[in-house]
Amino acid sequence: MRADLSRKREGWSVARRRRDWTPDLLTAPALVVMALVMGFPLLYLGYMSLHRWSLIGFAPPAFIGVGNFVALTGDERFTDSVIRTLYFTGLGLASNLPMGLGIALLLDQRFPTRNLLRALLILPMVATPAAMGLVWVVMLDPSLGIVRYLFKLVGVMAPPLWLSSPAWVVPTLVGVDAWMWTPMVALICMAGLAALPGEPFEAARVDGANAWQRFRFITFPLLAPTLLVAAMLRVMDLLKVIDIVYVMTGGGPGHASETINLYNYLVALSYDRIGYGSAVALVLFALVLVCTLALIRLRRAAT
Amino acid sequence: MLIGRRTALGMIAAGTLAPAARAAAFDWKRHSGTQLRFMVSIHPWTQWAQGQLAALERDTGIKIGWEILYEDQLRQKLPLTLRADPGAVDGFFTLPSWDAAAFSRAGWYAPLDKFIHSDATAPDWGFADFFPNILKIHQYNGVQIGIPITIELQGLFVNKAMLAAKQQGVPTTLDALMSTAKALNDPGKDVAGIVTRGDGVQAVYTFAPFLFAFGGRWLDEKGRPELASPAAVNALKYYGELLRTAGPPNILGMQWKTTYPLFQQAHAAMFIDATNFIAYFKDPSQSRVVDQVGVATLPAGPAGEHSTVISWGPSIAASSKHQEATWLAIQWLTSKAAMISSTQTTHLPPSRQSIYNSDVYTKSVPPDMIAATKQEIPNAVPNGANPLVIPVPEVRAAIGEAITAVLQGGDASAAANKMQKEVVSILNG
Repeated sequence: MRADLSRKREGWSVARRRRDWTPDLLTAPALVVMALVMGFPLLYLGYMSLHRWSLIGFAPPAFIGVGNFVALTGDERFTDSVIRTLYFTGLGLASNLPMGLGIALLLDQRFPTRNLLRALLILPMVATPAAMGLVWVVMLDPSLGIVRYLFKLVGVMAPPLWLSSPAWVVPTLVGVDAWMWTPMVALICMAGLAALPGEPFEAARVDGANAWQRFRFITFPLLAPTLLVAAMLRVMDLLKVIDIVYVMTGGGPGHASETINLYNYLVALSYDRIGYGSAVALVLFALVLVCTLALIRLRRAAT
Repeated sequence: MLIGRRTALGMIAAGTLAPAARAAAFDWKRHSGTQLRFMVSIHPWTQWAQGQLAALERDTGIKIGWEILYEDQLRQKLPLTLRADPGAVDGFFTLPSWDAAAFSRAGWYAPLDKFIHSDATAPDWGFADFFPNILKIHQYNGVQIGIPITIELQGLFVNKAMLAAKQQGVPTTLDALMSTAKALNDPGKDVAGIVTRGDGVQAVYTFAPFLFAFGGRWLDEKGRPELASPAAVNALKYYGELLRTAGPPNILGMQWKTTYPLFQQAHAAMFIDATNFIAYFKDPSQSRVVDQVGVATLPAGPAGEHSTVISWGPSIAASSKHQEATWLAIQWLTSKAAMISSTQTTHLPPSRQSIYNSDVYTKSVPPDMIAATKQEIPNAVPNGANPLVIPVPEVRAAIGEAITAVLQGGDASAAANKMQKEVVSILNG
C-alpha cells in the first residue's frame, strides 16, 4: 500500500513535470514579439523578392518566381559588388583585429595617461559616421586636404589619389572604417584581458617565459574567444557597410566602391525595382547569416 | 542668407497688402473654409511658403496642411500616397525633369490649362508674365502640369584675377574654354584650370550643356534615346579631355560638394555648375574669391550655347476633390506680390519676367550674372538636365558610366555605344 502510494506519487510528479509549461509561457511573449518583428519582415521580403514590384509603377506586382534571383546571377554590377564587399570585409578584419588587439595590449599596461587615452579612444566611435565621412572627404582632397600635406612632410610627394583612384578607393574607405571601429575592437579586447586569470601568467614568469612567449602561449589562446566575438560583430557591420561609402563616394568612381548594401539601396529605392532589390537584400542576409554562424561555430571550437 | 529689416518689411507688405487690394476685383474667398493638404520637399521656396500660410488663409479662407519632406522621402511617399489614397493630397511640389514622365503616365497631374484660362484665375495674376521658355519646364505633351517658381540655369564661373594673371579672356566658345583651361592649369601650385562634376551619375547634369553645344540631344522626337550620335561622341570626348588635361587630379568621382570648394578656395580657375552656387562664392565667411568671381554664359559649341534649365513648382493632384481651391492657393503663392516676397527671402532667380528684371532680384546678384542668365534663358533646354524618361535614376547611372569611362581615358565612341545600348534596354524594361 505504501509502495503503491509512493509509486503513484512518483508517477504523478513525473506527469506534472511534463505538464510544467511555466518556462515556455514565460518566454512566449518574447518569442511572439521576435517572430513578429524579425520573422514577418523577412517573410515579406521573401514574398517581394518573387515579384516584379515597383512603388511608382503602373502595373500591380507580378509573380515571377525565382526570376529575380536568376537575373542576379547575370548582373555583373551585382556580382562585382559581392566580390568587392568580401574584399572590403577581409581588409577590414585584417586591419581591425590586429590593431584593436595591439591597442588593448598597450592600454592594459600601467602608465600615467592610460585612462585619458582610453576615453579618447571612443571618440571616433561616437561621432556620426556621415559627418565623419564628410570630414574625411575634405581631409583626403589632394588640393585642400591635410593628408597630402602630412605625406609631403615625410617626403612622399605623390601619394595615391585615395577616393578618386579605382584601385585605392576600397582600401581608403576601409581605412576610414578602421579609424572609426578599431576602438570598439580594442574595448572588447580590453574587457577580455581584464577578465583573464592571473595565475597562468605568474606560473609562466616563474618558469622564465619571455613577453612574446607569454603572449603567444597564454594571452592569445585565452583571448581567442573574445577576439572571435569582436570579429563576429565587425563581420556583420563590414558586410552591411553603406553609410561611409554613400557619403564619401556614392559608390564611385564608376562603381569601384559599390558594396552590396549600397547597390541594394540604389536598386530598390532609387531605381524603384523593389522586387529585385528584395532579392539582393536576401542574398546579403544569407551572406551575413552564413558568416556569422561560421564564426559562432569557430568560437565554440575555441572555447 | 540673411534677411534684413527692409526685406522683412517688404515681405509683410508683399504677403498681405497686395492680395487684399486685388480682392475687390476677384473673389479670393470663393473657397473659404476648404482644408487642403500639400506635400512638398525641403527647398527655400517651400520654407518661405510655409511662413505665408497664415496670410494665405486670411486672404482666401483656405487652410493648408503643409507637409515638408526630404526630397528622397517625397519621391517615395508622394507616389505611394497618390496611388494608394487618391484624394489624400491636393497639391504637391514637383521637379518635372525628374517626375514629369512618370507622373504624367500615371495620370497624377491635374492639367492646369482649364484653370489658367478661366474665371478661376484672377485677371491680374499674369500668366503671360512668366518667361515662356521657363513655363515649358512645367509642360508635358503640351499640357501645363505645374507653375515654375524659380530658374535653375548653369553658368561658367571664372576667377577674374587668375584669368588676368595669364592674360586670358573669359572663354565664349568650347575651343577657347579648352585652351584657357589648359593655360590656367597649374598642378604645381594645386590650381586646376577648370573643375566641374566628375562623378558619373552627378555629371549627367554638367555634361548636358556640352551635349547640346555639339548639337546632340538625349532623346529623339519619339522619346527614343539618341546617345550614340556623333554629337554625343564628340561631347563625351571633349568632356573627358577637358577634365583630364585641365581638371584637378582627383576629378574622377568628384561630386558637387567637392568641386565647388576648389573654386571657392582659389584652387580652380573656372567652375561650371548651377548659377545658384554664386551664394557660396560671394559669402565672405567661407569664400576666398568674393571679389574675383565672375559669371558668364556657358561657352558655345558648333550648335550654339544651351544651358539646362529646371524648376521646382507646385502642381495639383488629379485625384484631389478640391482642385479649384488648390488652384486658388497655388495662384496666391505664385502671384506677383508673392514672388516679390519669395525672391526677397530666397534670392533665387524668379520665373516672372517683371520681377526678374526689377530691383527686387537684380540688387541681390552681381550684374554679370544677370547679363549671363538673361542671355541663357531663351536658349536653355527645359528639363535638359537628364533624359525626360520614367526611370530617371537608372538611366542617369547608365549615362554616368560613359562619363566615368571617358574621364578614365576610355574611347568615347565605345562608351557612347554602350550607353545607348544600356539605356535602350532599361527603357524597354
